[in-house]
Amino acid sequence: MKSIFFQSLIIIAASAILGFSANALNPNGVKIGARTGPGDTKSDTTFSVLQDEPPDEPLVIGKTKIKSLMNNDNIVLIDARLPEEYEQGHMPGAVNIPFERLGRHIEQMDALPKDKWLVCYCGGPPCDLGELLAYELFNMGYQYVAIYQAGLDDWKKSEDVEL
Amino acid sequence: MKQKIINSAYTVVRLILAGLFIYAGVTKIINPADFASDVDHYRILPYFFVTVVAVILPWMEVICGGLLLANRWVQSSSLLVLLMMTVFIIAIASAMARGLDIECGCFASGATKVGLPKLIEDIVLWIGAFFVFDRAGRGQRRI
Repeated sequence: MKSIFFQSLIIIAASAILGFSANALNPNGVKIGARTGPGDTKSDTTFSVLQDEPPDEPLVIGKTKIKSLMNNDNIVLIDARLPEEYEQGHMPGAVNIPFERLGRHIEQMDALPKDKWLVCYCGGPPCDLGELLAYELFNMGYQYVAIYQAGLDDWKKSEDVEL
Repeated sequence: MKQKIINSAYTVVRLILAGLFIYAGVTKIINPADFASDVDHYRILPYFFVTVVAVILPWMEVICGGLLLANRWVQSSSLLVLLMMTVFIIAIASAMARGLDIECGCFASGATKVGLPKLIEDIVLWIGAFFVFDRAGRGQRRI
């Protein structure tokens, strides 16, 4: 029994050593404990500017562009997280379509406007629910779909934003 | 005769578990960020632990699978497989209870949704892991 315990500990320790080493060398590795990712580091200028012609795929946009769309009332913000997370705080005017419970929101998805930008977001990288929802809407036929990849975490960093 | 059948079954189950765990681990090791995202979707762990699990668990799967394949340390590796399967079953049942419609994250390359088939599959694997653990414990094989 004792040997099983020690062997198990050795396996766990070896897994940890190999795991952390390989992760450090892997370009697709995760940053331990930090919700950071590409979406945080990209500036608005890195993203494609919203255009009049519908894009070939959902665009990744940033905070500045979202504020500009909000000023023109040309946007529907969609929070892709669970309702309980949405209730705890969301972007102003955002509707909640939780990607993890899409089956219950088909009617709500069908009723979205086609003449406004549908901007999907989540908590922030590496949460990809916003991106997954955006592609779902795009595949449903919505042409003006965008992803706010930096998400709510990034939105909260602004001084002039409301939640 | 009966003993022979049990011994053959033990070998077959051990090798199936080994293959599955090595495959599952390798597909996750290639892209830990994707696996972290899958784990995060379960909404069970704080994000710090999500990343730690995403980094360590795939290697544990590969090492346990390798040991089962090599027929070495079978009892300890099958015990860890048993523990991992228990955690997976609880996670899937919890996600189902909360109505989450998410990828299970079991194999990085597959897009299997959490649901009853996946739960049953994991329970079958749990039984297999228990069988191997139990047989190895009885000294039927060198460990």
